[in-house]
Amino acid sequence: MTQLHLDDIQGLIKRGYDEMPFSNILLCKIDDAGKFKMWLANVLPTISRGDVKDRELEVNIAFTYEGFKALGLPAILKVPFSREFEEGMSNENRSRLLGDFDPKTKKSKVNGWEWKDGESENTLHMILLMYGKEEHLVENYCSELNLCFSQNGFKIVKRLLTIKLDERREHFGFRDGISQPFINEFSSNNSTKKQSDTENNTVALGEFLLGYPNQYQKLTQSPTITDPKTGHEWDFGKNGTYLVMRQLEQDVKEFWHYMVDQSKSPDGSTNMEAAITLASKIVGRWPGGAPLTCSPYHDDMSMAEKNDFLFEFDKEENFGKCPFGAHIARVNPRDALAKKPKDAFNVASHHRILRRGRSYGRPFITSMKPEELLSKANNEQEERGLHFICLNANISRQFEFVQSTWINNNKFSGLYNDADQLSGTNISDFNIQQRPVTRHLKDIPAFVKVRGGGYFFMPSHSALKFLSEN
Amino acid sequence: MPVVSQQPLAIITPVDPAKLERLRNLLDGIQNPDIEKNSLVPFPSIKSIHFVRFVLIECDTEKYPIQLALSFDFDGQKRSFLSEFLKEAKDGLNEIYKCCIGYNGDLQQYWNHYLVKVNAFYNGHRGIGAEQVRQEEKLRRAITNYVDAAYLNGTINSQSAKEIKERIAAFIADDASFKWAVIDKSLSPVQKLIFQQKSLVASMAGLIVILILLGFSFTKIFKFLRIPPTLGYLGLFACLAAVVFAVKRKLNKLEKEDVVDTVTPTTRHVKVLMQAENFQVQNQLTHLVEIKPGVFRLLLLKFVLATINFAAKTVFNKGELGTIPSIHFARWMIIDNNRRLLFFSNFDGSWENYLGDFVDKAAIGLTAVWSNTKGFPKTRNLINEGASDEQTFKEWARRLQISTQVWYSAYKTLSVENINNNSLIRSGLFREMDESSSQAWLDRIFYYKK
Repeated sequence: MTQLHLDDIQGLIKRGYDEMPFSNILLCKIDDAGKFKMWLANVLPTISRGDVKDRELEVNIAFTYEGFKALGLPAILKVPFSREFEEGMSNENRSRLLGDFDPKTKKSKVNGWEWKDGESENTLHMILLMYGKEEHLVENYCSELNLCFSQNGFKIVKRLLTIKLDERREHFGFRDGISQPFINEFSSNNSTKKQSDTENNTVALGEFLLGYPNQYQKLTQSPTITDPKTGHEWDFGKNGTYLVMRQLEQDVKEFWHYMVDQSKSPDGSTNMEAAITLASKIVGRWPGGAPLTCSPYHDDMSMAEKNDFLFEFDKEENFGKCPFGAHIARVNPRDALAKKPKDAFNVASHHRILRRGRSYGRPFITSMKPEELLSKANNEQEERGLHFICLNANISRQFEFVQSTWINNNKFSGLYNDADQLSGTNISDFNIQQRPVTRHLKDIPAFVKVRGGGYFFMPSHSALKFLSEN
Repeated sequence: MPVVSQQPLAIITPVDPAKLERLRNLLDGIQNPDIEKNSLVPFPSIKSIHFVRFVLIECDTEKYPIQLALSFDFDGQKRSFLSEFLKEAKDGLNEIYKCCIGYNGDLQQYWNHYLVKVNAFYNGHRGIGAEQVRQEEKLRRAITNYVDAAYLNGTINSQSAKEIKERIAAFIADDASFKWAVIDKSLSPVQKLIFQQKSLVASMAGLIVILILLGFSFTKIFKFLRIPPTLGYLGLFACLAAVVFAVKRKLNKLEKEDVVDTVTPTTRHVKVLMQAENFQVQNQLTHLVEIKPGVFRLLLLKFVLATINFAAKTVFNKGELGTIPSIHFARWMIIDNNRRLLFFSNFDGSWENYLGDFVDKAAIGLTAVWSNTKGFPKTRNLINEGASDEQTFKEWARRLQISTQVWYSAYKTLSVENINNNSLIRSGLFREMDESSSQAWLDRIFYYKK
C-alpha cells in the first residue's frame, strides 16, 4: 500500500461531512490574481485536511481550468491537465457525450444553464464548498467573503444552498448515497469494515486521488509543472483530484404524477402501492433503500443499507425482480455486464466515482413519504434538486463513462430505447421485464433537468501553497 | 432469407495535391449537412450497403503520398456490388475521382487497380444483409407496438405465452407488408452458426490432411535417410522448438529496443475528432500507424492478422469479438508497400467505451497486432502489457486516429445486439414452439438474450 499523505489532501476527498448538516457551495470568479493569492496564503491553514476532524467549519476549494488560467498556471505546465477538464463540461462535444444535447434540434442544451465552466464571459474560476455544524458559521463566512471581495480579489458569482433531507433521502423520496466504493487507505485501522465493503466493492485509491496507483496499477496522468524559481519539475496534481459538479433540478410533482398515472386501478382509481412499486422499479431500490433484487415485493428497512448483493440477472428465480435498466443497475452494474461476475467487476471497477453531492430546495413535503406527496396542492413552483458532486482521477474514464455508457445509453444491457429515468435528462422508454410480456413504458418525460455544471480540480495543500506563492 | 456474405472492400488511390482542396470540399458536401440527402452519392438507394467511409490520408506527406481511401461493408459479390454502386452514383464518384492521379474516366478499371487487400476482417452480425437488418427492425417494431397495445387494453395478461405468440404471428401474417417474414423460415445466422460449422470443419479437415501428408512424407524421408522414425520425429520437434525459441529471443531483443511513444495528442486534434462523434448510437474510428522496421515485425504482424481473420470467421462469429459486443465491422489493412497499418472500425457507443473494451476485454489480441507498430506501449512476449497500460494506450490510439471525412451507416439507430436479436425474433416468429420456448421468444422482443 502506498503511503497516503492525509495531511496534504483536502477533507472532502476523505469524507462527505455527514455530521455537518449545513453546507453552501460558492461559485466564484477571480478578479485580481495578486490579491487572490494573498487571500489564499492567509486562509490556507483553515482549508480542510484529510487528517483533521474536529473543526466546526470545513472549507474545501477547487478550480476550473479558466480559474487556473486566471492564476497563470497553464504557462508553466509541463504535463497538462486532462483534456476534458481543459475543455469543461459545457464544451459542445462533451455535451453530446453527457446527454446535455437535444437529439431533436441537434443543439446543446448548455446555453440554457444558469452557470457553467468553459471559455465564456461569465465563466467560473473557483468553487468553495463549505460545511458547518451550525448554520451561522457558514452564514458568517459567506457574508465576510461578500464584504471583503475587493480585498480578496474574487467575488461570489452564485451562492448555492443545500439541505440535508431526513433519512438521507433525495427529493423523489428514495434513500440515497448507499453505494460508495470502498477505499482501503481511507478506512482507519480501528474502525471495522462495513458488511458492504467486499473485495468487489474495493477500488484503488488512485481512482480518486492523483499520485497513487489506479485500478490498472498505473499512475493516472497528473498535471506537472516546471517550478519557475528552481527549474525543477514538480507533480502539481499529486494528492489532488478532479471534482465534477452538476446542478440537477428534480421535478418531484411530475415524477410522482407519472407513477400514479401509470398505476391506476382498472376502475380508474389511484393505486398508491402500485405507483410506489413502479417508481421503485425505476430506481432498483425501494424508497427505504432495500434493493429489489433482495426484497422484490415490499420495502424492508432491515435492508436499508444493503449493498453486498449481486444482480444475478441470469438466474431464473431473479427474473422480474429488478429491471435491467434500473438506476442502480446502471450506475453500478456489479455483476450484470458479463457472464462471469469476476469479469463484470473487473470492468465495472474502472468506472466508479466517489459521490459527495447534497440536495437543495425545500422538500415537496416534509415527511418525504411518497404516499403523502400527492396530497399536497399542485400549484407550488419552488425549485429543488440535487447538487451532484463526484470525485475521480480520470473524468473521461469515470464520470463521463458512467454518464454516457451506462446512464444515457439506450442500448444498455441489450435493450432498444431505454434510459435511466431517475437521472436521465431526455425522453426515453423504460422496460420492466415480467411475464408473459414485458411492461414497456414509452416516451417517458424527463424528470430531471440540468441547471448548471462544471469540471473542477481540487488541489492538494502543497499545490494550493504553490499557487499562493507563484 | 438467404444467408448473405458480407464483404469488406477498400480502394486507396493517390490524390492530386493540386486538387486536394476541391476534393475536401466535395467530401464535406457529401457528409454535411445530411449525408442521407447528399446529391453526389445516394447511399440510401444502394440497398446492399452497410457502412461506407471516405478518408483522406494526408499525414507524413514528406514520406507518403496523399491518398483517398474508400471502404465499404456490403452484401454479395464484389463485381455486382461495384457495378450497382457505379450505376447509382456515377456522376458524383466521377467528380471525386477526377481529383485523383491517373484517373481516366473508367472507374471500374481505376478501382480494380487500387484495390487493397484486407488482412483481417471482423463482422458482428454475420450473414445478415443490410436490407434484412432494416426489415427485421420494422418487423420487431410492429410486434412490440402490437404487444404494447394488447398490454394496455388488458387482453394479454390472462393468456399463455404460446397463445400470445400465436396471436402475434396471426397479426403479422395478416399484414401484407410482412409477407417476406411469413415465407422466410430460415434460422438466424447466430442461431445456426453456419459459418462456424462450415469453416471450422473445413479448416480442421484441412489441418488433419496436411498433418497426415506431412507425417507420411516425414516417415518416408526418415526411411530414405535410414533414420529411425522416433529419433527423426524427436529431431523434428527439437528443430521446431529451436525455431520458436529463436523467434522469442529475437522478439524479446526487439522489445527491449522499442521506443514507446508518449507524445500526447493535442487538444485541437482530439477536438476535431470529437466534433464528429456521438451523434447517434454508432461511432467510427480510422487509425493509421507505421509498422516497425524489419521483415521480422512485418511477418509477425501478418501472422497475427491472419490468425485474427481466421478466429473472426470461426470462433468470434456470434456477435462478440473476444467478449466485446459492440463492433459492427472492423478491418486491418497493411498498406503503402508494407509500411503502414490502417484500421477501420464501426462500433456502438462512445470512443472511451470502445477503447476501454479494448483494454479490459481484448488487450492480448490488440497488443499482438499493434505491438508491431511504432510507438505502442511497452510490450513483453508479443501479447503482454502493451494495451493494458490503459492511459498510454488510449493516448497513443487517439494521437494516431485520423479524421473520416465521409461516414455512412445504413441503420444508425441499431446496435449489434439489436440486429442479432431482431434476426432471432424473426426466425422464431412462425416456428412452432412449446410454452417455455414461446415465453423465451416473448421476452426477447424487448431485449437481447444471449
